[in-house]
Amino acid sequence: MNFSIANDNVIWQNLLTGDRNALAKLMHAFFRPLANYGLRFTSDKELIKDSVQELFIVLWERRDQLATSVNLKSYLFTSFRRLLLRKLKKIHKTSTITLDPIYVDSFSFVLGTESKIIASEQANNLSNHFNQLIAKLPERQREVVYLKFFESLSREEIANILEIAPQTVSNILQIALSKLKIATPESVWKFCTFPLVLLLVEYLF
Amino acid sequence: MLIQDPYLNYSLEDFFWDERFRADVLNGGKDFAYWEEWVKLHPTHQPLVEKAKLMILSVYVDNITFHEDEIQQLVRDTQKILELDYVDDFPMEDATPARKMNRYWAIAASIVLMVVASWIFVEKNKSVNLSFQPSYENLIKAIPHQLIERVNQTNAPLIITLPDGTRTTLSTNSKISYPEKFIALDKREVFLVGEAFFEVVRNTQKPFLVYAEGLVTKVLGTKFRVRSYAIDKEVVVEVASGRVSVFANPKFANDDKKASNELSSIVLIPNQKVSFLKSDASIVKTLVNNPILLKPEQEAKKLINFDDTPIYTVFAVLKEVYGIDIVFDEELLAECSLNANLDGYSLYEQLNIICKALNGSYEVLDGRVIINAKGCFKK
Repeated sequence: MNFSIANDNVIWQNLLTGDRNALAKLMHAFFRPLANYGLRFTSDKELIKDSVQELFIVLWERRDQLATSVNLKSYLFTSFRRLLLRKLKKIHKTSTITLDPIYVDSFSFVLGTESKIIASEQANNLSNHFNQLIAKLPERQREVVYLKFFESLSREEIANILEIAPQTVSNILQIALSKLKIATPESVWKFCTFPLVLLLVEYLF
Repeated sequence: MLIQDPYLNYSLEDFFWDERFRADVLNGGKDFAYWEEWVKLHPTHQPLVEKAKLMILSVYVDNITFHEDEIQQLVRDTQKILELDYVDDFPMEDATPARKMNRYWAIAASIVLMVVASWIFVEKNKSVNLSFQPSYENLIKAIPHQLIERVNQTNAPLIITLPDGTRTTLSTNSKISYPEKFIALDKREVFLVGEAFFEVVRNTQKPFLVYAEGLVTKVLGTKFRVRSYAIDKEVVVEVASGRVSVFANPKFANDDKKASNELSSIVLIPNQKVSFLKSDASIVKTLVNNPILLKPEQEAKKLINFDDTPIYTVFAVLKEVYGIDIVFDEELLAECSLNANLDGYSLYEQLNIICKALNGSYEVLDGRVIINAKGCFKK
C-alpha cells in the first residue's frame, strides 16, 4: 500500500488537475499512517475519521492554490497535525463536563510486540523495557522519536511537521536517544536461543 | 589515515536506535545484504547484530485498528461529497424547460397552498398553542425552501436515497421530508414522522440532522434508527455504528429549560439508545433491546468462550465485543472467574449467566451496565 515517491508525485499531479480518483487513492494510501499518528493525540476514532476526511476535502477545494511539487508525506502530516490539534483545542474549550480521558491531547504511544518472531514472554519484556524509557521522555521528544523511528521520516520532514528548525530536531533526537540507549537488562534476553534466530531467518526469506 | 568503522563500537541499543540499521532491517532483502557482508567481516559482532535485528522486528507501535471496510467506506463517502459538489457547480443547464413544463403544476400547487394556508389559519385560531408544538407539520412550515415529501403506506420498508447519497429505510406508515438539494452550507436537515433507519454519508462539514417532534439527532456519518410515531409518547433513537448526538429542539423548549443547562446534547455510542419524552422533553439514555456484535462474528465467537477466565477479563471482552461500558467493583471481584461458553446468547442472557455465577445481579443505568455482586472466595 506504500507508494513510491515517483508514483506519489504522479497521483499528486492528477489531483491538482481535478482527478477525484487520485484524491481517493491518496486518501486510501495515507489513511492508516495519518490515523495512527492522530491516535497519538486522542483515542477518539470518530474524531480521527472526521479529521482525515476534512483534510482531504480541504485539499480538494484548494487544489488550484497548491504547490505542484511537494514532499507529500510531510505535507499531509503537517496539515493533518494542525487540523487535529485545532479540533482538540476546540473540544477542550467547549466541553463543560469533566474531560473525557480520550481527549487529553498529550502525545503518547505504546509499543507492542509481534510474538510470531520471538517468544511472547521475551517480547513482552522487551516492549515493557522500551515503553518505560519512552514514557519518561517529555512530550516533544516522544513525538520526534515516534516520527523518526516509527514513521521513518527524515530530519527535514519532521522539522516541517513540527514547524521547528532541522537543527532543533537533531538536538531533540540527540537528547532523547541519550535517555533511550540504556542497556536492555540481560533478563529480557534470557529466553533467546539460537533456534529462534533460525526461525526468524525462515520467516523473513 | 584509516577511518575506523563506527559500527564496531556499537552497543545493542546503538544498533536498535540507528537510523540506517533500522531502515535496512525493516526493508529486508537487498538492503540488509550489506549487514550480512559486514557480519562476515566482523564475525564477533554477529550475535549483537542478530539480537538488534530481532528487537527491531519485534517491537512496533501498538495501534487501534481500523477495518479495511471502514476506511473504504470513508473514502467512498468523501468521493460522494466531491461528486455532488461538482454537480452543484452546473445545476442550471436544463432547469428552464423543466420550469415551463411545471407551470400548471405551479398553479395547482399555489391553489393547494392557499387551501392549506387558510386551513392552518383556522386551526391556529382554534388553539393558539398548537403552532408552538414541535410537530412534523410545524417543523416543515418553518423551512423557507421547498421540500420533497415521501410517504410509505405499503407494508414493506421503503428505501430512499437522499440527495447526498445517504440511504434511508422508511418503515410502514412513516413520512420523511428533505430538500431537493442540501444547499445549506453547514448542515443537512430532514424531518421525520414514524420510523426510519439512516445510513449517513459522512460529511464533516455538513452534519446530518433529523428532526422528529421535539428531538434533534445530529450525526456526521453513522448508522442509526429514529422512531417517532405521532401516537407514541416518546421519540427513540438507537445507534448501530459511529457516534450520534441528540438534543431537545431549542426552538420549542420553554424558558426555564433554556436557562438551565438541560439543552446540552447527549452523546450516544453503538448499542445505546435514548428515549425522549414528548410531554416534558426529558431524555433518558439506556441500551438497545438487542445489542449487536461490533466485531466480526468469527472473532467474537472465539473471544466469548471463557475457560476459567478472571471476571475482569470477561467484562473487558464483553466491553470490546459490544462497545458498551460495564461498571463493577474490580477489587471486590478480583478472585472471581468464569467457565462458560457464551456463544449463541444475547448480551442480556450472557449477563444473566455471569451474574448467576457471581451470585449477583445487574442493571442498566445511563447506557451502562452496572454489576452488583459480593465477590468470591479464593479457591
